[in-house]
Amino acid sequence: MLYVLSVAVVLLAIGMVALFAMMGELQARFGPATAPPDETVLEVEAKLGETVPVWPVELADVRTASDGLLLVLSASCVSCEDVARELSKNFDPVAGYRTAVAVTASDAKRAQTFLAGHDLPANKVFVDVGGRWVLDSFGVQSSPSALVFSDGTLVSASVFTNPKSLPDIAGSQTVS
Amino acid sequence: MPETVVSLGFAGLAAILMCAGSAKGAVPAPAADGLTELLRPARPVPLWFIRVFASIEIAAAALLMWADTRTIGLVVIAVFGLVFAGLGVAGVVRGGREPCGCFGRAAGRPIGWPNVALGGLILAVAVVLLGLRDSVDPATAPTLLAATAVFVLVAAMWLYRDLLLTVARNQGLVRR
Repeated sequence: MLYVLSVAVVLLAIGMVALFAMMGELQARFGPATAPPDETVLEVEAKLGETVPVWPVELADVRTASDGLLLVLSASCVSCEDVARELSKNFDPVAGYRTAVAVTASDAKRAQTFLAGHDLPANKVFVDVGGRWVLDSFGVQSSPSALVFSDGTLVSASVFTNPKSLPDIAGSQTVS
Repeated sequence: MPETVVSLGFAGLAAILMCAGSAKGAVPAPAADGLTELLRPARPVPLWFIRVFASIEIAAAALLMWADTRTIGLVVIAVFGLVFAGLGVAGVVRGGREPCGCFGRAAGRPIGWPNVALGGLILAVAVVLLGLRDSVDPATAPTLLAATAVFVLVAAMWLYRDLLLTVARNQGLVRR
């Protein structure tokens, strides 16, 4: 009997770890509700001045616009969930800029799960599996990040946490 | 070495593997993402692979509880230690940004030196216990199980202390 009880206790302990892990995943995805929005904006290393010959069709607007804004979101970051939520309400966060989104994820299924939670226009969202296109084209590995383009040329790249800072990011573009 | 110390060694080693296996089994995606980024396979590491790996971790830990199966359990765990350390070295060499997904956690450092350290520790403890495996009375299996369960609970509370603190703050048990 003692033996059976001991095994049962171990199983309960293992089950508790699994429960904690699942709660941790929920917290990582949705974050603490009371956390104030962070205004941090940081410029990141990127291939400024770069033009890319081949663009996904979903990002055509950004490529052809005189002022374009590409938002790079990861399917596994909490801030990206916040940004996507804001974009669902207003997909043009910066007046005068054509906006599109690249969602990076380790596989297409994770990206689709991320997109299923937000009402974003499918024709302006590019799923970049493994983040390879964004990395190879512009050297950007961080998210959420805002890439500002002028006539298809990358002029600035910044990591941000609050979508409200996007107009400031677009307004402070630099060319190296 | 006193039998109690050796028994605690078995319980502690089993607890680490049980925690790791249980958490990864419940939340396999972060580990899959971390491994995919590190190994860069043709296709992303599937979630079922992580779950199978996690099941073997738990099974190997369980094998430590009984005298007849301790040897095979220790050999398997020593191999795990080698694998973890090897992946850590690969992570240091290649670099990466995805969290390692250790213990199912979506946040945290990429695969690197901590994995080398933990893998090395697991390997070392397994090798030492391999030489001392006959010094534990087989009749103490229920006690060993109970000690393992306690260690699993303590380890879980340490690994997920941020989560538990958040819950405690929300309940007013801890001052913000």
